[in-house]
Amino acid sequence: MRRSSERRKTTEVSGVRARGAARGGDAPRRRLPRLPAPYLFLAPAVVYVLIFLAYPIGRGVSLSFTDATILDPTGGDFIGLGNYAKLLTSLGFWHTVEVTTVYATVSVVGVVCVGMAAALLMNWRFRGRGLFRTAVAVPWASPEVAVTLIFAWIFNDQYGVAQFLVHKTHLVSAQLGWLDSPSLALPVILLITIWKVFPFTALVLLAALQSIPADLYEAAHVDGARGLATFRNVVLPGIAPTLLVLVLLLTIWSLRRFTLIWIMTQGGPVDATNTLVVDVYRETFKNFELGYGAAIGMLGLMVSLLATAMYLVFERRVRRSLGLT
Amino acid sequence: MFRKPLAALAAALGLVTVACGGGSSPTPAADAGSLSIASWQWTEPGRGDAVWNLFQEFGKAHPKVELKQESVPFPRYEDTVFTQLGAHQGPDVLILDSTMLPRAMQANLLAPLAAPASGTSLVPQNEDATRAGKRYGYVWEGIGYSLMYNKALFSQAGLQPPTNVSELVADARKLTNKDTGVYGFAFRQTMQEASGWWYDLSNWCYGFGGRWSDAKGQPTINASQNVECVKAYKELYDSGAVPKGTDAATYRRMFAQGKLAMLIDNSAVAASVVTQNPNMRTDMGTVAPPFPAQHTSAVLEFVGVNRYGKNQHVAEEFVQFVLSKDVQSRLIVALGGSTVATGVKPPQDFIDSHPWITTYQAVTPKGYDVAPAGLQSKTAQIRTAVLEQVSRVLVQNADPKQALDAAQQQTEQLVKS
Repeated sequence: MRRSSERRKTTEVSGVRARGAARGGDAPRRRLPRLPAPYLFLAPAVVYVLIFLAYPIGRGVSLSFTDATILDPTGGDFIGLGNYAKLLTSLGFWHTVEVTTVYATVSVVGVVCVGMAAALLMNWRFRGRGLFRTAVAVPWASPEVAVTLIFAWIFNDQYGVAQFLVHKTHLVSAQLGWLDSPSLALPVILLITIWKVFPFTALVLLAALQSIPADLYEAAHVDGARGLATFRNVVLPGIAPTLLVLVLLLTIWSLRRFTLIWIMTQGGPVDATNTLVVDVYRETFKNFELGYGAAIGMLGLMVSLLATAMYLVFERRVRRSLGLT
Repeated sequence: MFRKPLAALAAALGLVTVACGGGSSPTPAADAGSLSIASWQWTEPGRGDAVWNLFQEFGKAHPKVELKQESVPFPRYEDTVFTQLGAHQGPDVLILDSTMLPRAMQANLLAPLAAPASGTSLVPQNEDATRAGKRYGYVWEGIGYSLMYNKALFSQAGLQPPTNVSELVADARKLTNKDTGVYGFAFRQTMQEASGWWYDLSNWCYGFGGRWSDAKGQPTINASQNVECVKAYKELYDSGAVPKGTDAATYRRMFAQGKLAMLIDNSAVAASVVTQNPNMRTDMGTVAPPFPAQHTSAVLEFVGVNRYGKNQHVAEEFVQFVLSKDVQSRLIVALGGSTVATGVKPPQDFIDSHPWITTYQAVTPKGYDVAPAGLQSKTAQIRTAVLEQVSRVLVQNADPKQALDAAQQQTEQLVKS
């Protein structure tokens, strides 16, 4: 008696053979498309990647091995790893890496926490939820430059609202130099970053929350789970894939964030808010060291790629642990 | 079978090359097109409009030429314009200060200029715009710095303008009133305004008898006079009399509105203040800065032509227009009494109506260029090294001697590289 699996296989093969015979051949053969239609559809994307990604990155790599200046971008001499050696032996560079790491870590954690809280709130039914959802979107929708300029005035030492509130509430008696103090400037930048970015996280997480089937909540409720237990056992696994992608995107965005920091502090005071991307700008356009700035940029790119690689490894493990692979 | 098409292609390419005129010297263009003029001064109250109105005379003489302003704020002017020039783009005519000119000449970004009309005398500072026997610019304006003070505030407090640094700090403290929002003194103190802060700090250090380099072009960043200057700067910064974090545009407006008692600034600012508040014509006093040595920094600006500008011929004609006798005598009035390329003096009635001119005329000859002698092409990097260390003194209470020693070391390495 033949096993059912063998019978299935024979039937499938017979079926294929039958179709092959109908076509006039002995065995089925996979045909290549006659027209290059798929390649034509891919071509615009490939051209875009080549022009706006591959070429600039390649040019940046080549510049990083020269001593080119902004005044003569094509006239630099090849100096090998000179820029990288100068960079890696510079205390200032490692301080910049430290600031970048702190900024990226705290901003991502802060955005995710605040965004999650907002998403959970928006997922509840309450009167005025629509208005609340609109209000949550306002920071994200506001023009970044305009908002940053307003915050610069809010945190002005003499005339800022923040200073006024601190004095009125008698929290501190002395005048706080929000953006002039190395110990306060980065926290202020982080606060504004979290305020500006959390709505995006909230909206994405809200969509993920709404995709969790209601019966999972019911089943958890039947099993006696409440509050934090429900969040841990139902919500978190349900939104885990979305959350992982969000963390990756937020990390890369935080590594690239320039406008807000530049307008507020330009990397100061005394490099307290000098992240890698700000350092690239300062070296390239303030000190006119194009080659050196390109080297910093390349190291920044490697950091982003490292973050992406770590995400891919971690994401695979999470999917395995959740039984999604 | 391919020879004829190839021959035809070669002929066509040859015609195209000839038509493009590759490699030959440029032929003078007709007086047409646009002429863009870059400066940070276009938005200065009073001065910007006055200079622009004067330039319309050129427009009338060249009706086919459209004059265009390219306005960039001073804190961003250097990197904006240099980025454009480096990309072989940018304005046709540009104003450059003495820290920008050497680098622009060294990088071959400026077009050589013809000599002025015969009989035109030039002030010696015009020689700074020459290199290897060629001229790349002419003096646009030269201005010095004085102590500007609010007479009404001083009178109310029963004070006289300070004659030394101790009196300056004491007066600044007495004149500060947080309740009314009046501050005693202001200067730039953040890297966001590095270009302008360099002038402010140089005022102080030159006033203490210091310099950034010696006659041989060796850095003297940590000279004792500079250390004393930074200590005094720090003392005033910590006195509570300085609006910390306030930029120059804001504290100049504060001065015009009577919210700031004193500042050390140039005659262009004096003219702008009076434009913003005509009462300051009588309420504003000027005296020499109260420093032990009678020196300050001096602003020296040049007008040059972009080597890669689209309308070089017209641009060069424009520069000759600026140097003409009639325009120079009107330019000095439009600029508010600054020294101009030909050294022409402002008319007496102008001096009478602008009493601060006399003070500036007295201090300007004692002013030094802020670009370190012998190290002009590295001014930006030296400036960054010094100001970053001074920042540490101001906000992190670093020791001024150690900070300037660190800046000296960085500058020496820069000079060697």
